[in-house]
Amino acid sequence: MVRQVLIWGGLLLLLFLAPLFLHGYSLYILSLGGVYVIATIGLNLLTGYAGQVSIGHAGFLAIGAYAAALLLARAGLPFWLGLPLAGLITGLTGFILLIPALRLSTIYLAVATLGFGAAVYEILPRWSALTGGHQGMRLPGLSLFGLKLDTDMSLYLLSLIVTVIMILMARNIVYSKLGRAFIAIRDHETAAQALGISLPRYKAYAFFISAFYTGIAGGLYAYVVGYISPGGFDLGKSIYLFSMMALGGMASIPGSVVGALFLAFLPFWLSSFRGLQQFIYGAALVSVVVFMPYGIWGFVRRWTMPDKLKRLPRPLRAVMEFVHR
Amino acid sequence: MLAQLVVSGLAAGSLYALMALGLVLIYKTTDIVNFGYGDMTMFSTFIAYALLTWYGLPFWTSFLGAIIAGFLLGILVDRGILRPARNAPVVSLLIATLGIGMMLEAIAGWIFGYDVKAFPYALKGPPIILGNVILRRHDLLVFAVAAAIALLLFAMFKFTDIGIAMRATAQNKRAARLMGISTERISALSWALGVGIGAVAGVLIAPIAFLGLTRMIPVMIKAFAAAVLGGFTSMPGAIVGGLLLGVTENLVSGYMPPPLAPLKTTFIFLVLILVLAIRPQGLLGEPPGRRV
Amino acid sequence: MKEMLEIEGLVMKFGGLKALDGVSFTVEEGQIVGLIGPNGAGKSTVFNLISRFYQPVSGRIRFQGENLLKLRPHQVIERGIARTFQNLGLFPYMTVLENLLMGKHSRFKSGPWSISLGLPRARHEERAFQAEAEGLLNMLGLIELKDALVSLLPYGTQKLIELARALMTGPKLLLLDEPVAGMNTSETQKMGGFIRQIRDQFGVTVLLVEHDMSLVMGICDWIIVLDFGRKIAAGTPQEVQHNPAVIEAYLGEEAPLSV
Repeated sequence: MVRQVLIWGGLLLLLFLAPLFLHGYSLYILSLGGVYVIATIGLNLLTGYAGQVSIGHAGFLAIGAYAAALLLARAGLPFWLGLPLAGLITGLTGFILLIPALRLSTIYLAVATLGFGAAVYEILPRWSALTGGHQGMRLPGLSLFGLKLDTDMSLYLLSLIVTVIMILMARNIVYSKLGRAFIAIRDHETAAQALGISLPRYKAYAFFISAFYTGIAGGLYAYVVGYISPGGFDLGKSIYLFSMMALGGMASIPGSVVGALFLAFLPFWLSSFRGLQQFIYGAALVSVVVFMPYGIWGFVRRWTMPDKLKRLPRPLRAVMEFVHR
Repeated sequence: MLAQLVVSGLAAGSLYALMALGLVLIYKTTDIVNFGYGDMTMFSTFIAYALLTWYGLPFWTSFLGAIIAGFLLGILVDRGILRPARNAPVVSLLIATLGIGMMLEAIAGWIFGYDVKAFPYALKGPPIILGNVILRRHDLLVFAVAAAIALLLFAMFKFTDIGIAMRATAQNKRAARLMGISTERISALSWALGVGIGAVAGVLIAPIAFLGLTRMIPVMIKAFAAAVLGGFTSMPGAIVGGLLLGVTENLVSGYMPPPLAPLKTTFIFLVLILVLAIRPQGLLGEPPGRRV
Repeated sequence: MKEMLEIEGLVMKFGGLKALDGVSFTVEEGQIVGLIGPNGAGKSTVFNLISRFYQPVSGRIRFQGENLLKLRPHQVIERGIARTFQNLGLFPYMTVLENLLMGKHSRFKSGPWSISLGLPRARHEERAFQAEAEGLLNMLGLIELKDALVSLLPYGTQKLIELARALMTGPKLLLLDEPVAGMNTSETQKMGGFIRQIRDQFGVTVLLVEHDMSLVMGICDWIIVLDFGRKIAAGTPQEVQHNPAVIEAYLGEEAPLSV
């Protein structure tokens, strides 16, 4: 336990001190990494944990981004009010998908979410009065009680703080009756009900929380990049998020982090050759499916079994595998 | 105007129906939703393009080439990639198809370039006029091809041994295997047919939507909507769904007030949600069973 | 003796098929009642109606005097009815401990906000219930399995854990759907003893569906026999074993009533 705290504390300290030895562009990339970590956790909570497949999640990202942008630019709200509010607004739109989720089974629900993403993508540029149309919106700089926060470093620290908070909150959710209820709904709806889980209520929680997370990610994205346009929130983006979740490990918070960072940084590792990125991206997805069906994190977990397992009687230990977590 | 909208809608709908058919065919026999379908279709169509413009082959030969490419691609995907991953959870296989699609996109970019290309119509010549309705010859061909494929599939499933074997595998894979059906062969055949049908659709769509790396994506989204509308487990449903979708799309364009008219996809999905609200299994899908 | 569960004139149809045709019986407090009958007799249907997964065509179900039919499925546990499932209702990707904690779901008072924010009240509840689950595991001698993934455990152990989870809910009535299916003789005997202990020690009333006659005749105080959706007999194990209608219903099955 103490060792865990030391490791994570050390990592966190390193991340906070990053601005001392990393320059602007790297910090910007890390900030974006944080955005995608939050979004992937959001998707994972809904799809990985609660089993509600969503392939239109870019829609929530867009709503969060535009909500944050509008609250900042038009309503003049400071970012520390605007961001949570954008998250809340997006969370509420999550209820749009609740209704299909209560009636439809997997593939039908997935296509409904696809429709949601497609509809948001279609509506955004056409509501020009609100969103600035195809050209997009430029955001004013952030400020905290007069202090301007528009440097790479300040935005990085903002992203880091928000990401850490969201990760901690996700851990609370997952290791609790709420997280377990999600898994129960995913794996055995009937038994879940017999144990007192109301499907409408818990699916509502799942959609709200997931949309909230993705909305926060969207808002953060808007702040970090400073400019948003409808084009960035297409089906490709939804698939991007889905891939981050699947690659990293479904129903896993560390998996979400790993998957998000891996894919977010991929373009920067392979920047030169056009098309190579996409090929590697595709190949990575296929390989993960063949060799690591439970994601990168699931694979890692197998090789770093926790001490607890050693206390099990021999025959069981031989058979044990930690695949989910 | 209504008649024109409906007829043109049916033409577009036939293309959606074809693609939906390919999706449902693969899903029924292998339980895999092929998210890389748009990319596979695009790739096969590019093969036709290459045969046509690089090697100067006649149109219909190139068309045939695309279909063969589709067959081979389907078999390659099934045997080469999905077979070894057979034991992965279904969601993972979906993701694999996605990955395959991406790789195909990248490869197509390397070979064929990144710009959008024009593609010739299958039938050129003056349009046909029937009363108030103007039909391109191409559209007539689309109707004919879609009907032909639908009928061929129907005949195959009803009257041939292999077709019956496919139906058996779709209903109960384990029982089919116990009856001596090689489910591996059926799987490969389904993929070959599915992607082949996609190739046909692609060659017919390309002249209208142009040929490019991502030009098939909007069509694919609609194909999914069509398949779900009809009931993802029903092939006649895929056809009905596709046609209905094409017509709805056109009616929306034609009758909705200007600010709302371009929101075709949104309306299609609203219609879809409406239908699913009343029939969660789609128009012709199997009713949801309660397993307690 | 108080009536715990009253089933009156239950009729259930699936499409055109009549699964239950006016079934009536009563379970009294503190009894272990067996519900038996050939396959397709409608036993699981009765359970699923009590669990409120289906709505009957007609009839009444009362639990401790309250009309159960107005409840939604997730409300049944709050009244004090817990159940196990024929094909195991465990959550395969959860550990033994987590599955047991699911039993406490309906007792958790903390809402999503206190949980997400990690408030002390939520943490405290989680710890307290964990301790309770560990206590139960200790009692069953299964504590070393607490972090094991349930789907990898032997079948008999899984069945026991599902029963333990049902116990965690603090029920007044336990519905056990084939609790010893697939178990060998010694496992069946152990399970039978455990069920009796649950009734004797915790005062839980038990209604069980079973095909294994050694268990049914061994531990049930009262047996109800269904065939083709109708009750054809009810009585003590002795009475039922010698009832000609029951014997006839089972004719064709391998000597089911000889113990």
